[in-house]
Amino acid sequence: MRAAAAARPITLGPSIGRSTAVLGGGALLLVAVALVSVAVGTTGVGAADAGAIVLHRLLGIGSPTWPAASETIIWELRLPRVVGGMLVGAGLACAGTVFQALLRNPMADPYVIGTAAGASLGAVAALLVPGLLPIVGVGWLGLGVVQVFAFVGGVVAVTVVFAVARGQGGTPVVTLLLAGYAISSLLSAGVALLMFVSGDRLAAVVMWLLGSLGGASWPRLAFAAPLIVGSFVLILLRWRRLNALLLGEEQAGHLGVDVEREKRILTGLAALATSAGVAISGTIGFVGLVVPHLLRFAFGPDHRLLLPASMVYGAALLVLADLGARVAGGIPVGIVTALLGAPFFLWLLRRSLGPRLAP
Amino acid sequence: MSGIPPVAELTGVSAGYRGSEGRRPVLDRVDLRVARGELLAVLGSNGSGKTTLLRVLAGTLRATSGAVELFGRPIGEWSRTEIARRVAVLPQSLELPAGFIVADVVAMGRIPHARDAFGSGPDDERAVEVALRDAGASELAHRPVSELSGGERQRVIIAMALAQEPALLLLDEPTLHLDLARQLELVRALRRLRDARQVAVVAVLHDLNVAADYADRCVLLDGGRLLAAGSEGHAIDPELARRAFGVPIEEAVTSAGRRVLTTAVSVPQRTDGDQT
Amino acid sequence: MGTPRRTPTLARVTLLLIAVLVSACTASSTSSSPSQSSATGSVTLTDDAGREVTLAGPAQRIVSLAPSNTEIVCALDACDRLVGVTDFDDFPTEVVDLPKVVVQTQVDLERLVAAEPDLVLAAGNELTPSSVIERIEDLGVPILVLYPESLDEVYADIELVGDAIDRRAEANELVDGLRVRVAAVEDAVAGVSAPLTLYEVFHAEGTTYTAGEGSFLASLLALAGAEPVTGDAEGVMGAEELAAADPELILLGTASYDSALADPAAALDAVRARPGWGELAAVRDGNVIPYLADIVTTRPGPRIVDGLEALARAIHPDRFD
Repeated sequence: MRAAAAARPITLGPSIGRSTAVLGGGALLLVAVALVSVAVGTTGVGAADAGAIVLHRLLGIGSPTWPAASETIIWELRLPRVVGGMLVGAGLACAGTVFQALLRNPMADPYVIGTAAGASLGAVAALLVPGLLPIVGVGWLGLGVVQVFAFVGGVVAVTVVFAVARGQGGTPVVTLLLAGYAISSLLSAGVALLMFVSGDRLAAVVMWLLGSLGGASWPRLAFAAPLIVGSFVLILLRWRRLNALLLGEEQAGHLGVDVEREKRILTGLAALATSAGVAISGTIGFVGLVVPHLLRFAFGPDHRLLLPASMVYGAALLVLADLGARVAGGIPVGIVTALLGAPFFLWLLRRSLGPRLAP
Repeated sequence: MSGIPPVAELTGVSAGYRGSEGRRPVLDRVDLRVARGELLAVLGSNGSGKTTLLRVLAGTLRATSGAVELFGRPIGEWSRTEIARRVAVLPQSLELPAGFIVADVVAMGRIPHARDAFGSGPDDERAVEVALRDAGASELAHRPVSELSGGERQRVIIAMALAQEPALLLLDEPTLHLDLARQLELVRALRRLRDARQVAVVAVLHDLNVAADYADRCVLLDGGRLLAAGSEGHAIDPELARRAFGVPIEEAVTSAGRRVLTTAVSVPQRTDGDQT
Repeated sequence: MGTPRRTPTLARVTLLLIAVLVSACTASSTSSSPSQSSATGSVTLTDDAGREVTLAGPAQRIVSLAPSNTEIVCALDACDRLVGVTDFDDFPTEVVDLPKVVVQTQVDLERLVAAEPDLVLAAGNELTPSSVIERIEDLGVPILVLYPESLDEVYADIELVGDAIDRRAEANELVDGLRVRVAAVEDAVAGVSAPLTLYEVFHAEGTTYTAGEGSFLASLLALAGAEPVTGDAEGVMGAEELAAADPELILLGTASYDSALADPAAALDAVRARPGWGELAAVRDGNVIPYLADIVTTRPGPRIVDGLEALARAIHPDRFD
């Protein structure tokens, strides 16, 4: 048997070449999509002008040869939307990847343990009682009451779900999923009730729930970016443990992973990123569910590559979806992601569910 | 013996699962000592506590009473990672996540040794290579995990355990999916491991003769109590085996002069107790 | 450690809260007259949402986010200063060709910015979402929120816009003319018994949308010499409540948009077919009138008085020639 031993040397993990191809390709895609998104809108700002404006504001080179309105459109309206799309798309895809591994459930998405329902309740409550906190309402750190309430609502909901699901021996995954479902239903009932009494504010509520990047502004992005990027980095450092969790909790434990601790940390990080994203854009669906599956199908389940890929491709997908939403007449981007996501998902199902996650 | 502490020592250990208080504990005041490099076979009928014994040794189940020591220290003082660097567990069944190649799955055994950097160092690659070789799975290194047969998968799982470079290997019915040839291969590999690396092995086996032949020592679990299976001149005492398994056990001598134990199908069984 | 160390922090927090409250209160205090700084030509106005807005000078490039606002600007003879309107704007006819900044009720911020306005006239009560108003404020464009809920408030809005574009004299003249016409309507219907009148804004699936309790429309109906049937605060009325109210007269505002209801006989038949409606006094007596002036009756601009006159004519035709 020695003689027949593999002549090829063992290299572990995705090769440098493969990683570069996957992530580099994704980055190129992201850049291309972003460039097109900045250059395209409902008003005509020449692509050359757009580029010059960005360079001027970023690096201070060049002097304005364009109308002030063009600069406002590019720098205050389009670019924040594009950057917001990148951040939210990346955060949702990364969180979705984490939850699918943690909960070992292919239907898991970033919202499954209560973030969406909690954030929605917070945001809708804030939308309906503008006179409640007149002091805070004037924009808090440039964020806006709705954003703050949405973020807090998401984080609190996850904390409650985790506390409810916690038992003596730890927090079983099934209990976590069920508690998430139960708490989400409860909070959603609250949202529905508020919608019923919302009167003429119903339109504003529905728009928020459908999800839109129209509210992206630089102060809000400054709030969300460290949360989303920071969570990603801390999650990425745990790639080995996420891989081990695919073997099941018992075996992961045998490999030295403190499974209960990982659940707490990973859930917390993913929930932070998700809540930050939802605070900017409302509850955009499908990105967190579909992107991890597609990437796992294409590139394999190794989180060392899957996590960065989810950030890059998730970002590109949402920027692209937002471009479509704007061009289609300013419809909420959540509609576009659903329209894109559902057929993709069906296609994935037809190809035998993609890689199955171990129980 | 010198002052080298045993790999594992259980003193008066009882253990059970939540909800089973009041009933007889699954492990009932067990005393066991596993020496360095010892090949120990654990036998017993279903439900006798074999898996529980392994879990206590692995540190994943806390004993309700008694003392558990690993390498001379109480098990409670070891962190998860420290244990994983020394103790490897081969579960009864494990589904391997699709999409990986064998080498990367085996590399998961390196997790307790990882310094949490990004890549895998040359140590890890070497350890994986050696583990694959010792498990007899070298030629599977670049195969996708979803394409493996049952026996191949078993060898890969063994390689993953070996990649942890353990001093104690715990195997729960490792021969279940293996044909005769592979069973013997595995057991011989365990012997080689013991010889080469002084790895102690505690293996739950169901084949009495394989156990008797290849283990240094056999122990029998009967209703939560641990008995030495052997007595004067016997690796496994037929009478003890008969009591533990509840089936008539006969002893025979092969043409090569070796003692084997067997059970006859046509002889009426005891109604209580399980058949092996 | 003890009280001495805690008090300073507590005092600081209290002082901070007081300071914030005081500044918030002073910010929202309303003054009806604009403060003018004649030296620099700037003017500070207070809009219907209580916001204080300062304009550097009379607005020259105006974006309107509601048809009523557009009509006010044009009524003050400043139509040529409009650089952006909504796709619902239809009066006067020349505004139809102006660039559309609001498409399907969605404010397109890019188009708004591209129009380079120095004043935006928004609609209150979330007709222009407050998030959009905030964005426009952040972009540094002065924005006035208009939301009149009575004739007096319409007059105030006309004067407000007049101040913003330095056409106050024209605004006063317009308001005076409107007041005269309203007074004429009041005189014409004085002393006449007011029929219990239902004004149908919309009807679907057994639910009728009419004048809300205490609403602008209800006050117009009252001025026009009717006793209005009102729904809840949003004007929603179920079939049972309608039967209990039993109006004597029904004005079909829906006829303004549905040509099938324009003919009185056809309208009566259609209405009679609705479940429960056949028993209403108005239907039994044939007092169901297709009302074709819904736009001016529900658009809170200068032509609201046209609407009032149309209502009075429909309710008391014998009092008008």
